[in-house]
Amino acid sequence: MNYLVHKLFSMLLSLFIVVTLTFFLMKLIPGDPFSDEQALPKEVHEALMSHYGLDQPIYIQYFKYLNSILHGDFGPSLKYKDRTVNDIIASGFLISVQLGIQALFIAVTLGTLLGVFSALKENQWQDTAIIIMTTLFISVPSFILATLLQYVFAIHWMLLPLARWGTFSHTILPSLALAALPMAFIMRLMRSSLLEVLQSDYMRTAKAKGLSKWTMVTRHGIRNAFLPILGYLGQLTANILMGSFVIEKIFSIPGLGQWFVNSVSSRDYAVMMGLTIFYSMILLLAIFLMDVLYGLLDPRIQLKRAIV
Amino acid sequence: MRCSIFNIFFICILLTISSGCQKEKPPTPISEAITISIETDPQTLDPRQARNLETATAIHMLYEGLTRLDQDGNPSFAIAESVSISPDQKTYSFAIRESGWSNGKKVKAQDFEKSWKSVLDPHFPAPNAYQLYVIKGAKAAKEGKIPLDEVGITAIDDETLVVELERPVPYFLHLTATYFYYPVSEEMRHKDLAAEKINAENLVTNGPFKLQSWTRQNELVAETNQYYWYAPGIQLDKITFVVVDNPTALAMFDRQELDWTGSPLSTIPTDAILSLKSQNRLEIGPAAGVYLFRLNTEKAPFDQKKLRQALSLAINREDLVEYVLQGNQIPTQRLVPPSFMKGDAHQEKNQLAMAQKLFKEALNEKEIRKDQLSSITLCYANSERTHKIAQVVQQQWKENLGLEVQLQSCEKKVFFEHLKNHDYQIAIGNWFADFRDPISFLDVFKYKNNGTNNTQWENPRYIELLELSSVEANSTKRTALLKEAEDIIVDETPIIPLFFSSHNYLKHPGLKGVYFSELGYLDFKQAYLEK
Repeated sequence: MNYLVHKLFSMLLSLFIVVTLTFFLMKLIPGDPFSDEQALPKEVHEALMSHYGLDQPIYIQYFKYLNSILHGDFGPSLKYKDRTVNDIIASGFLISVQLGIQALFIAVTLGTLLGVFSALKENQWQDTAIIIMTTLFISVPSFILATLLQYVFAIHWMLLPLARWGTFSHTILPSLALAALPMAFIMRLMRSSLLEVLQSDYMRTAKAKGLSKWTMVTRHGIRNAFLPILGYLGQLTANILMGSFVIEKIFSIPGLGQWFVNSVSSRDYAVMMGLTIFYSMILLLAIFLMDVLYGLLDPRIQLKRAIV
Repeated sequence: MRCSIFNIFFICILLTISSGCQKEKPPTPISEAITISIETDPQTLDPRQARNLETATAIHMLYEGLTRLDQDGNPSFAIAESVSISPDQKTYSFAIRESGWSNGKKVKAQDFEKSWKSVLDPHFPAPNAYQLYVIKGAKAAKEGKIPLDEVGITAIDDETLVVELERPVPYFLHLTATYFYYPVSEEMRHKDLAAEKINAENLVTNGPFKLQSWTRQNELVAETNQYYWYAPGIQLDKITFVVVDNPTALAMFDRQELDWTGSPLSTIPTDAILSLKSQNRLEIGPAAGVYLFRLNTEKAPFDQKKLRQALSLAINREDLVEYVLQGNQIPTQRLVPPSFMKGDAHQEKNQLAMAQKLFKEALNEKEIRKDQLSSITLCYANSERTHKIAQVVQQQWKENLGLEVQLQSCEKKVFFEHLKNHDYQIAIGNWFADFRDPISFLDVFKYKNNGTNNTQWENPRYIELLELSSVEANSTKRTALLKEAEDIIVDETPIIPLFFSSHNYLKHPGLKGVYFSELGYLDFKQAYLEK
């Protein structure tokens, strides 16, 4: 229990540091949200700045901001006049999560299965085929894969919609494009980790006990080999749930990922801040959950940490 | 062989990956509905806060002002049925037509008065408030110097709106057709900006179409507004904007999922333009915009006119447009597009010798060597187009003058910051008109401290000519004055005009009657689909 409280406390502290750093770094970037080719007259610019409270001293802006995020309010977007950051997160996150979970599901199941299979068939043709495939997935950038998928499935064969969002069929291609890289990565991790586990003493013991290969691998092998993947999963879950700028752009999906990039280029301070905080929260939460899961799967770890 | 289970599974996976899913049903076409691609969502549907072209098109669809531009770009009566103008051309009295808001309420003169005054409220965040400054007292009111009641906008009764101007404004009926002068509904005027979202249930508009649904960053659907005065004449019953990425939009157009893509709501990828052109599919329309270089005339070396002129003359604009940009832009050395004011956009042939001569003289006068100018930097906001322009001109200056120029590409907002602080030497810029009048271009460089000028150039005669033109009621004389002003700025060269912009787009062949304004928005009021 102590362990959890300690973890939670450090999470909140990291969050506070993220908020403070982001706020001041953001204010350091030159440029203001209302500047463009048609420069505004002074009084008009002032009216805009004061409407959004940007004319106040920076420390007051900071404390006001802290206060509003404590109330769960990330403020209004400076670019999209009638939208608040909370709206943007609410609508975009749902979409990114749906896409993310599908991609995560594909990546984890396929990645693990292929990894296990590949390890068991070490140095046989199936192993080589899988390794070539995953090398391809790791080295081909997702935007190329996405365009390729679009070309093959939507333009050439006309099987699936080209882009946009709405029905389940819209989600297939982007999920695959999003899943390819983590799947390949998980497969590689699983393969090498399982190979290592298969060499270990307890596996030899299991074999000596006369267990069948199937039971040996499923009961003792995979469970232990999965541990390194958990470490990767925390980061991956957060990244994939927040949406991907490139994939969302190519498939024209109204998810959260594109807001990250667009808000910076339009100096939409509130959106930039809100998303960074939200992302940090998701990331910290995911890492926390993985830590807990680690403990459940591997009793050694919790014991060690509890002593520290 | 227990592992054969895995083998089967492995093959299954390969099969699933390669086989895909069920065939998608082809969309059934509805003849009176059109779909258009848009690069980014409109920023708002409140005309008072609009700021970009995507938003402008959506707003022209949903709202209507006192006047509306016809197919030739001239103002015709819209919500105003007629207007009487006082002999001194300073008082306009509009008679308001019988027309309705999308909730059935009548559009009244008071709607205009209150909407315009809300824009001029010092506390209201309206970026385009300055567009109303031709109205008497408007600027002072926005600055908080006089109360809003003293501004020259009065609704005498429901049907009569009287507007007093600061001075004669020959293009005022053009202005009333811009979205800066659109009315907003009572509901919108009263709502708390930050708290309430715009959606199909609460948005009340007075234009040909009304909002049917709007899912952000995804799709905006508009349908006919049955209370609009011209409603029986509206032929399209549904217009859908879909937010898609540019290359995707092109593919969707090829699959006939779109009826329009490209300017002004999205951009056709440069790589595709050439092949579309050779297939005769690309449509091209003029744009009321100019691309130019700004020169910082306050700092050496560009405080010297001859050097500025030499640089301008040494650019081969035809090559730039024909071989690099390839979008049918019009090369120019002038500031105002020919559709606004007749002028000779063409470049004389043997300019190069002149450029070299001026360049030499400039160096001699300053007593500097060529290599001492090697620190000159051409800076620009990062984009595919500006990058190409910069590289070509860099090459041309090197070949024609032997001048080496450094290129500096900045992120957009950082670039504007440099421009604002006059922390640059040469900068790539552009200017698009808000309404059809030469003043829309000439005013940009009127005063040194205009936020849009940034060249630090100011010329007393130029200012005088513009002042004279603003009180000149005779249009021929006025044009002559503006022409002279343009001659001055072209000769003085605080800016180096490059080309007039163009709009490239693809359109369904059966879609007719869409008015594509050179100002960069689409008007679907008269649009129809030919069967």
